Amino acid sequence: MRRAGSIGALVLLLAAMSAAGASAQTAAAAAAPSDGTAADRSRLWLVLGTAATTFRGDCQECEQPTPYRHTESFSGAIGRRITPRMDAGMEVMWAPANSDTGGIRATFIMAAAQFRPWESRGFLLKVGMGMTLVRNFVYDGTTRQPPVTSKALGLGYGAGWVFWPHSRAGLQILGTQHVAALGDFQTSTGPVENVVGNFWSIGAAVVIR
Amino acid sequence: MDATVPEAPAPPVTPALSMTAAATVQCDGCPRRSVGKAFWQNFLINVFYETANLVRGQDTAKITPKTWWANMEQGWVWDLDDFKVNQIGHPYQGNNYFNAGRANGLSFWESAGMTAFGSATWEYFGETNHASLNDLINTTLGGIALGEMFHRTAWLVRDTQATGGKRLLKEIAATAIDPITGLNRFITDDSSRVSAKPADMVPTRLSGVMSAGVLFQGSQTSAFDADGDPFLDLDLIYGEPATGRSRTPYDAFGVRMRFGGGGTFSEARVRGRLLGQPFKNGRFQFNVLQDYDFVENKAYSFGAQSFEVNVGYTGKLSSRNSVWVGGWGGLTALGAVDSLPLGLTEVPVEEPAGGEESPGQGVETGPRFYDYGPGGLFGGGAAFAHDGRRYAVVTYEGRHLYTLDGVRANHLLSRARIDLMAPLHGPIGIGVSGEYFDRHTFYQDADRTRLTFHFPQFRAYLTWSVR
Repeated sequence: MRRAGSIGALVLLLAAMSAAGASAQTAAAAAAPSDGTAADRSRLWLVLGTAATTFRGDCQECEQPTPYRHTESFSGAIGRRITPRMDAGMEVMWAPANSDTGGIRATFIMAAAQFRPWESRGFLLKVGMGMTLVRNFVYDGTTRQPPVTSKALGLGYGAGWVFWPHSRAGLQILGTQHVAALGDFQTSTGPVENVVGNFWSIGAAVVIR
Repeated sequence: MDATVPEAPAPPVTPALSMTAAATVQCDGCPRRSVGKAFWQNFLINVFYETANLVRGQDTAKITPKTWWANMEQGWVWDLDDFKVNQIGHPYQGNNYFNAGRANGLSFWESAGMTAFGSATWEYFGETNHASLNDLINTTLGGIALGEMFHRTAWLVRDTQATGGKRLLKEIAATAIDPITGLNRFITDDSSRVSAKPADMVPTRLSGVMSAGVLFQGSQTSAFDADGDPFLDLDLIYGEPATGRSRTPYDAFGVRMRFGGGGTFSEARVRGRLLGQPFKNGRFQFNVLQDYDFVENKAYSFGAQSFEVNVGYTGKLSSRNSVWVGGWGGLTALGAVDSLPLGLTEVPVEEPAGGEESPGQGVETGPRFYDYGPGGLFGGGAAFAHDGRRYAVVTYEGRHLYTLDGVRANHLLSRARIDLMAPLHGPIGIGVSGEYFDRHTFYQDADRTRLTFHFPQFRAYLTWSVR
């Protein structure tokens, strides 16, 4: 409940920051005789956001169904505006989850791109691919042992809407799914093979471009 | 306005391009841009494949909102499908999504996004199977590589200045290569309209070699199979991959397809340039390439979606002889190689289901005898040419695959190949090729077992070159 509240507050804060940025941009544009078009300004693409995330690790040979866990996640991206409709760069998403016996931290580090099919509308699609580091503190059921870090193939995609797409700063709301294909996952009873972690997120982010 | 200066005449606009249409068409022969139509056609492609599977009686096609929800709840998994389905069937389907974008005026990169969208929606909503991660990657990356290659190849066939029966035949042939663009052209009547060919669909240079002959394969146990397999190779070089500054994806690419040679369709390979930059006065060339690989013959199976950085040097050996030397390295987003668990020496013959309930037609329950994983790639090669015609090519390709799904092992794959060709008369020539494929498998068992497999190959053939 507290987590949901904090995410809600963060989303509101991001929205307020974005609105302030957008209005500042509009005011500046109105004051200047030539408005800062996309072609004139820096090509930096920067995204900072947070989301509510549900995740689950599973494998085809697993007999017991694994639980869904709920957490918050944080993401950031930095890159370049390639065209007025497309941005590309590096994305990092961090999803920490805790339980009574410890926690799991998943960090996605990916090459990512997002584009708006319609220039005049805010609808956007996003894809990324790279690596995931999964740090598992609960593999032996206690927190006394040092955590095990597994490397995984990471992939993410999503769709959303960006408000004020032509301003220097905007706000985007986004639904994403991230996948971490781990191969082996270490547990107290030995490795579990062919594990795939799925992360579903819904959140918001400030965009500067 | 100065009355003495006559107004410039308005540029000629063909009737089909008048008024609002001109705003969404980038050039006379270009398709009209419509993102909505591209999405809609993506949906129709999924409906087409779904209907085809239903007609074939596939149980995986019996989709309902319940199966959609189950797939969304589960998320992505690895699938157990046949090698050919995963490594060439899905990339081909992806090429359709990609060309739904290209046919509707979208750029290469926008169409790439369209491919990912088509693939993801198919995986979640087109089948009862859980959404497959390997399919998503193969359909998207393979679909982009095959899609742009087919799209540009089809534009080579079209003659947009011609009319009548000759024009129609060429449009039909192009539709066979790139069905989605072809169908769109027939629907919009672009197939009969006289216009210019889109400038970016005209390569700076084009060369190709068709080879037909016999291929002999060997393995650890026998040097070569006594019975050779007939084969037909098609090699196409589009543009000039070894030279020039380029920021247009696939303005230069190479493609090889092999029919026969141990399978009906045994090899497909695409190398598409995403970015090119010459340096040192053009003697050296830096390229970023997208790679698609598929090999399935009697000896081994291999497939991959990769990206590589390639540096090449072109120099003159004499006034008529030249050499190209290059090296490359990169990342394999997802590779697949045939593999057996320890203790097995060949793929076991599948037992009939017996009293057990059948899982349903089209539902694969495994086991699957190939592994999936990402990795790295590296290689080098040299090509010697006389008057621009290649007579010797030597290449080495190495790959490392870290298995994420399959047998717990790492694979180190090597492929060395030498081609020697000589002209006979005009475009006709003769050639021989030797190839050596080697796989080291490092099992992650307690003993750290390491197995090595060798597959030599020899080919003799006639060639027909087009330059």
